[in-house]
Amino acid sequence: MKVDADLNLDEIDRMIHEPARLAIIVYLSILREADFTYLLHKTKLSRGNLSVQLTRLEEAGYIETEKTFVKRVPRTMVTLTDKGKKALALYKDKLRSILETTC
Amino acid sequence: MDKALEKTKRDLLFELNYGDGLVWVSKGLYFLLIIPAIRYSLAFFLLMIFMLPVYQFIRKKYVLPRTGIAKPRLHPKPRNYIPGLILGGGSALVIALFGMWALTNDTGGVYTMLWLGLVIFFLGVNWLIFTLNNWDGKHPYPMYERILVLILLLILPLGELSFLRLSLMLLVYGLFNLAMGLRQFISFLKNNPVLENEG
Repeated sequence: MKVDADLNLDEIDRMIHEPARLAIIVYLSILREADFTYLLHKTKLSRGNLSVQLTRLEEAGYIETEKTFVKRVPRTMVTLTDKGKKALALYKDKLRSILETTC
Repeated sequence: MDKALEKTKRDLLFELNYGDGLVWVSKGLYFLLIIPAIRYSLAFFLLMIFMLPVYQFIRKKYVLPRTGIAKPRLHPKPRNYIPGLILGGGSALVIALFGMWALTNDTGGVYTMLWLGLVIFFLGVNWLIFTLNNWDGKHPYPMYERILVLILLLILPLGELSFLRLSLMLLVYGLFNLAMGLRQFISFLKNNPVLENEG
């Protein structure tokens, strides 16, 4: 698409650009770690959707998850990886440069 | 964009630390303990020991099932510790010198009362500076609380200083914090349903 070519939208990281995943990445960038319930509380996503988005982010290497059991109840702790931090910084720069070009 | 992200960060950290209102409840109870501790027995201060486990129990039982667990990033060290150090050292010196002077020269007990007020005030200010120095979130003290503290501090030097007067001020401030914290806690419970376990 011509508009995309002019704005270099292809350079935007689609993995982060999706709103649900962006919210997860932004929250994790502020925190050292968070559990599944916290992300559920903050993002207001359904459990299934959150689970899918976390799997995608983990496959991309942007987050790490650690599953444990506390009194037989499963707990998944999530942290942002260095790759995830760099991807978020790059995404911000890219988005900023596109907006500065057009606005 | 950076401003929006900064706001998200400040709001998130505020919510994480102060969103449930329990800090205000604890602070209110601390201030309410000061009066019986001074008036009757310092043993009342021992009740503070039980406040931390009670706080943690309530948090575990009512807060965490609603919000989940999140740990903020740690600061490697306070960003600017020099003002805190100067104020902390200075206030300790003023309190010590004034205390020593009051002990030898005070006949009516008025200066001892003033000294007590000074101790509480400087402890409060030092705690405030220490907290804010290590804090990236939204300002934890609402405007109406700052106005109340200002009014109470302006009232303190007016008229004759007495234990009753100081007690009333601590009572007002303690009750204010307790009421504010309970209101926030009830609102937190109403607005945040218990989330199921991961299952």
